Amino acid sequence: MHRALEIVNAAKAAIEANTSLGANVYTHRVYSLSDTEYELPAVSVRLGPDTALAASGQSSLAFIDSELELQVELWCQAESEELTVEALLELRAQTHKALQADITLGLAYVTDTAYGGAGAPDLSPGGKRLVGHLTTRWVVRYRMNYTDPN
Amino acid sequence: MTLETPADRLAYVQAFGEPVRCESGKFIAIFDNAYLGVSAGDLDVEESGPRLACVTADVTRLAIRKETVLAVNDMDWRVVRIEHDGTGMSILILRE
Repeated sequence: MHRALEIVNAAKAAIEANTSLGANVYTHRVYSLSDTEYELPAVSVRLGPDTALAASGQSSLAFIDSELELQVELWCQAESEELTVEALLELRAQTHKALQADITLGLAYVTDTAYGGAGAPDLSPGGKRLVGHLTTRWVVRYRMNYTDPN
Repeated sequence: MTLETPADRLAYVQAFGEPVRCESGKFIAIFDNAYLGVSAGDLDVEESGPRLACVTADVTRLAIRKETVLAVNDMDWRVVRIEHDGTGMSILILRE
């Protein structure tokens, strides 16, 4: 398995391990989410851009260091604008704590997991409750063999 | 279907509607709560879109406005938006 995918799975496991989260955690989620199926609140860890640290794409003849961006997407539902934003920010705080509890994510080849910012909360009306969505970004620095990224 | 007169409109909601209660009184409206996919990020959240179709005269008579609480089938809803169609019918968009 490519190390980038192992990192996504490790980030999911780290977020799930936070018992204060109170949300379902997915990877690469694109199918719709349903409150009646108990899928919300929800967190999805997605692969973002992966950028080699050296302009040439390798750091030495032995290895490549790279920065993988994880997009941690958050969804929730609530009755009002204030409650929706509050719920989104609580999800953001809990995922932050989870991803900073161990900056290696339990992987020997990960050297750092750093906060990369967040988007603005997006509230969608139309249904019987408001839907909130927020994207947060995390940058994971990792090392791989330059001939084999697995 | 064209509902030409106030009597036509009233007959329509009385034929297909159900009683709705609010603080200022009662009226008859057609309740609908169909599936609605709410776009959030790049996926949909599965929702339903509760709404009532009623005669505009009832909205005026009962002073229904945003945040008015309406009881339909023992469930309370709040009015989010009122859409008058300009011909004597109104749609009340609801939320929990």
